[in-house]
Formats: sequence, C-alpha cells, structure tokens
Amino acid sequence: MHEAPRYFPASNQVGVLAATVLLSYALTHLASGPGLTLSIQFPGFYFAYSLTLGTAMTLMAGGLTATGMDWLLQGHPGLQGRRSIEHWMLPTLTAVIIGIVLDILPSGPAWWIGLVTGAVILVAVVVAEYITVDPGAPLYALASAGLTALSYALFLLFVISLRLGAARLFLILPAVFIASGLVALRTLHLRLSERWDYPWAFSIGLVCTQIAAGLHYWPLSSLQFGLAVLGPLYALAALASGLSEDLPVRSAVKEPGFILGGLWAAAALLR
Amino acid sequence: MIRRLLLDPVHWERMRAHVQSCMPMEGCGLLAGTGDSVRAVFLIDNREQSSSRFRMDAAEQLRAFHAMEERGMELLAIFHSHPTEARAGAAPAPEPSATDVHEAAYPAVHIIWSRNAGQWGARGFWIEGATVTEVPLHIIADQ
Repeated sequence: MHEAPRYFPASNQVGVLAATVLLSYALTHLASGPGLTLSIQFPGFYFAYSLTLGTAMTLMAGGLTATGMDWLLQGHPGLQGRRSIEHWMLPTLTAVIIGIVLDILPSGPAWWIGLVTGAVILVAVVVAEYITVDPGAPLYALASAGLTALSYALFLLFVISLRLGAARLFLILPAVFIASGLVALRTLHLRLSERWDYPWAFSIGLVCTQIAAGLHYWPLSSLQFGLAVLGPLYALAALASGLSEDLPVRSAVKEPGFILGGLWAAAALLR
Repeated sequence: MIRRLLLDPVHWERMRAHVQSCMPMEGCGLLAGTGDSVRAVFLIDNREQSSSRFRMDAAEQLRAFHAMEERGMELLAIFHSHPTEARAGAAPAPEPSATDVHEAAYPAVHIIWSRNAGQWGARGFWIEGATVTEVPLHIIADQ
C-alpha cells in the first residue's frame, strides 16, 4: 500500500519546535546573567563584541531551529534521502533575527507583541519550507512566493537591527555578507527550479557588503540604511534569476531597475 | 543622547588653537571617545573656506572615522567656529545658527566656538530635528 502524499508537517511536531524556540526567547527575557565583552585589537581595526545571555540564547534558538527542521523533515515522504540543509537556512535565519529584535525591544507589551509576531512568522516559515520540499505540492507556488517575500523582509529587519544596535563596521560587514549571501542563495534556489547558484549569491553578498561599508558613516536612519542595502539585494537576485531564465537583458533589467529605484527613493525620502 | 561631555584641557586647547588658526574662516573637526569621555580630537579642513559656513573635507573625515574604528572609539562631537566677533556689549552666545540646526545630521554633540572681546569660548548642543538642548562641557585634567 502506498503512503498518501503529505504536504503539511505534523502539527504536534511544529508545535514542539516552535515551543522550544519560544521558550529560549522567554527564558532570556526572564533571566539575567553577566555579560562578557570580547575585545581584540587587530592591525587596522579594533574588534569589540558584547556577548550577553541574549546573544547566547539567540544563537541557541538558531541551532534549535536548524535541528528541529531536520527532525521535522525526516518524516517528509518527498525528501527520499535527499539532504535537507536548504530547508534549514531560512528558519534558522528567522529564529536568529527574531532573537536579535526581541533583544532590542524594551520590556512590556511591545516585547510580548514581538514574541507573538515572531512565533507566527517562525511557524509560517517552517510550514512553508516543509511545503517547498515537494515541487508537486498544491501550495508550492504560494509557499515559495511567501518564503521569498519573507526572506527580504527578514533581511531588512536584520540590517535595521544591526544599525539600531550601533554595531561597529567590522561586525556589520561580515553579518551583511553572510545574511545577504544566504538570502540570495535561497531565493535564487526557489526561483531557479531548485538550482544552487553560488557565484551569483557570493557576488550579491559582496555588492551588498560594499554598499553597507560605503554607507556606514553616512548620517542615515536605520530604516534608510536598511532600504539602501535591501535595494541591491532584491534587484541583483531578480536580475540573476531573469538572466538564468534566458530573458533578454532588456527585460531582465526592468523589474530590478524599478525595484531598486523604488527602494532607494524610499530610503532618500523616509527618515 | 549624550548628556555631558568630559574633555581634557589638551583637547580643549587643540580645538581652540585650530579655530584660531582658521581665522577668519570657520574651523571644524571631530571629537571621539567612549561613553561621554573624549579621547581624541581630529582637526579637519573646511572645504568651504568661508566665514559663515563649513563643509568637512570628505577624505580627512573618512580617515578620522577609520582611526576611530582602529582605536575602538565612537564619534562623540562635531565642532566648528563662528569666527565673526560678537558686537561690543552683546552677550557671548555661541549658539547654533539656523543652518547648523537644519544641517545637523549625526547623533553627536555639536560644539560651537565663538569669540567675544577676542576671547574664544565654546558651548555644546544636542540637535534633534528642530530641538536644541545644551550639553554641558566639563574640562577635567587627567580624566
């Protein structure tokens, strides 16, 4: 007897995964611990990072999400022994970004609203990733579009959080490179029929990092900075997928050009 | 917001000597440090070469920012001078002009130097939108 195709994850498993990750955020909020400042003088720059309980728990939430996704996907009938790493990336990034945002939010109603919103986003990402394992799933197109949109929204939140946290240049640059490279890699993978495009993802990460470095000392608000870095990420990923789909160059640059112009105009006008 | 700024007399004297040497043009520069304590002064060339406006040399400004990264410091204040002497009998009032308020962009204390009866004096301000709040400058030896 054949196993009926299952396009959605078991709700109890999603519940356990979400509850475990949310518990780590809640514990961080309730408990307090001594911070540890790591500072190293490198030739040409001074690296200082304040490691707090919040940072450690955020990293743990990311690790828990990655292992939880692997556990969830073990039972996916469509996986058929394939590796599942591409389906961990976005949920892990989501858990880390939610942790960073919760660490910045002040205690009180705003923090709890942030936790609930974060929980909804995390569950949505986990379910969407599960659905995208099987390209034949009825909701594949919707889940794929949702994941793409969410990836960009999370990247924007991440860059805004870095800026709000007044992170130093030499912490911002690797963080932007990793996040933009991963988002580009995953969104291209979704748009290009499950194909990994490492050269494009690496190049997009590099361009975003250069732009972030160039704008670091400009007197921009966090939102302006985030939009200015998101613009090239979205535009270059759209250009890469257009060119990979053999669109004529003229058509391939239309959407990226329009979006880049729109995001940069918003960055110039908003404060 | 920085609520006060602690300066060494050496920093104070470096700024004063710089704005004096720039006369009759506006002089400008940056102060860097940690928390509310100034640890370094960066003297920057005024590209406008004007007695009523200043625009920092971009390359020198970037070098100053890189030096701050290198030494683990933050931008704490931006200083510039109003070199036109206050009229006789007028109160010494180094205050931000409308242009200073309009063009203030960095989250830093804005220190304004001005002359009264040949003597230089300075006051600090935090400018946020149209709101200007005075920030006391404390000169403390061996801070």
